Amino acid sequence: MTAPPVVSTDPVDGPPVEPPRTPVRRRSSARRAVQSISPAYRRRVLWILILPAVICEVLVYVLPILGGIFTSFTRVNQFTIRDWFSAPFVGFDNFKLILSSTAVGGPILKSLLVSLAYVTCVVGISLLLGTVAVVYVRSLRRSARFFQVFFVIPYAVPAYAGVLAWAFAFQGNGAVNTLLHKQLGLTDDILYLQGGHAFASLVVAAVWRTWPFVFLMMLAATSNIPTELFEAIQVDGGGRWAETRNVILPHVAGTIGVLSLLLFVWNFNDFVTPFVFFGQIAPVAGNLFPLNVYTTTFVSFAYSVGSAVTLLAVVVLAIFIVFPYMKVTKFGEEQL
Amino acid sequence: MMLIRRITATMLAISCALVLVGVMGYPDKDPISIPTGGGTWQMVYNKKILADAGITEIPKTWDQFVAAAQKATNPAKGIWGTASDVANVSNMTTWQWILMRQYGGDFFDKSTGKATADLPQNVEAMKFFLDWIGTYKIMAPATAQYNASQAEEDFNNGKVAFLFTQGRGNLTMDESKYGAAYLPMRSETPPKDQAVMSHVAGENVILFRSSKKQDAAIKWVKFLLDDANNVQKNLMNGSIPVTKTASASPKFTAIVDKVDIKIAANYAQTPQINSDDGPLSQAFARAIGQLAGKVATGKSVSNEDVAGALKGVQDAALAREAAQK
Repeated sequence: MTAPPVVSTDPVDGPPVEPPRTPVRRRSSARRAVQSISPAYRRRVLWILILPAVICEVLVYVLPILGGIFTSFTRVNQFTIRDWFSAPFVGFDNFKLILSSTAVGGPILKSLLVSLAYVTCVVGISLLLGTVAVVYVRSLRRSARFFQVFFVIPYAVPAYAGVLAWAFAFQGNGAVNTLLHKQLGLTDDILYLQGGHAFASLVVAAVWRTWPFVFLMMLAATSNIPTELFEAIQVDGGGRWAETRNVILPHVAGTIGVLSLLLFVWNFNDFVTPFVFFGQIAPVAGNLFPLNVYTTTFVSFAYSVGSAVTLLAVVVLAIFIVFPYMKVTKFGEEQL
Repeated sequence: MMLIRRITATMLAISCALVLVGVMGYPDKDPISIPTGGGTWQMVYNKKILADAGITEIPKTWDQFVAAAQKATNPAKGIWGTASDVANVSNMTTWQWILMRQYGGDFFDKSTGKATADLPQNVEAMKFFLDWIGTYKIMAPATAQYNASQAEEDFNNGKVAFLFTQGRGNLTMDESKYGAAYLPMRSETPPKDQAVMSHVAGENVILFRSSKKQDAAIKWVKFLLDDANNVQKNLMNGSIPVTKTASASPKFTAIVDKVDIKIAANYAQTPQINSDDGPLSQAFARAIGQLAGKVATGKSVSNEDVAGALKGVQDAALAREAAQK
């Protein structure tokens, strides 16, 4: 295939001028030179070029993952950790322990369900807040949009500092209880990090940290929507809701899909929030999966059981991640 | 092998001069490590709060303790009889073990090494501890979520009458304002095996058989255990000395150190060494911590609730034990 000739216009008022053909010819000859190289050689060069990336990938991702899988089939504990690879091989014993004992597997399953509920709430509320904020900001005059900077501040605060501030706020004598109970008298004297409140407190802190990211992404996704579409809605007498439903949401559907996946993974793996809130003893409603695995296995030297639990969780999570990922990215479909 | 025997012989020779011999390795076997500094739990009390509440005698039994703590408690002023870092696993695994030992319980059976998390004695001891928040109301509900050293902070800020803690490292209050005493027990003359006020804590040195500098290692241990050095090191660390002669040094003038040296000599026990010690004791502390959370939110927790929670801990321990076979 040959590239079409580029046509330029005379800067003053002259007719279209044909550009010189030499560069085009040069490009074609370069392409012919590449095509004349044997496919085997080209493949070899490609492999050499991607080799550093492959080596890094293997060292940083593949080997540690294989190490984790290997550990789940051995008995690495405080007695064998010093000579990790010589730990006794125990086959599926660690998996049997988790799956056959309700005393061991029950609490883990419970924390997995708590985590899924947590992720659902955080992702759902963050997406809603982010979308509403974008619709609101779009409705403002350009000069007033400066204030959107404040929406993004929580995203810029280091995760640990933000969560720590919330942990202080939710203490018995913290800001939340002091305001709602002692000053306004709206609630009872509540320990927000205990019982069912623990779950709600986790969700509040996580949404506070997550939704600005949704806002930023949605703002970027909506910035290229042609203004004619909004004008058309206005001409037809449509309001803000019609704009959102008929213009904004169809344009950002793909972004929402990818965002949901990202936020799902990030929040499911959220260790900082529950650990800063509860330390090693979390109430059942706040005992998220990563914290539970950490406290019940790794902290007490049961490294192999911890690896087995994590491996099982990866399998379960894959169901929630791989299929949506394939759908969102249209993986496997012929690209046009 | 020659070198290993030399180290063992050195350690055995040193152990004759040590107070804390229980923490050198498995019972009745050659020692594997040498303690260089020690520590025990003790009870400290705020003199002013006790004086204001008209408490003139330091409680020696738990009944006396509860009565005194109730007298001192004044939630309106933010003052509580006692405090505890209930959600701090490493604190609680020790504290709960001490209480259980006073009731005759333990994490493991001494002769078989099998898990005994749900012993009735353990249930009774933990119910008593949870009652500090619920029934007796001598400990603030907020302590259920203390996961660092907030109890010590409360004490240092003059908000707590009695505090159970290890050593003087976390006490920043002026020493003239607090006193230190033995921990209360169930009676003033409990059975000898239940007269437990502390575990034997501290830091140990291990000489590795793979070391290429055995001579230097032995010299180093002897240096650390030299009386003058051991006194100096532990004075600076806020811990107590480990040799009998260093323990008698008049340089340990801090009230906490004086009490700790006595507790180490007379009322400290060594927890059993067991491969499941970490998982079991930590699961135990989490189970009790979650129950404390319930109590703190105003729900009642019965003996059956405690027994049920500890049965879960016990079942998990038995499952782990079966998987080890």
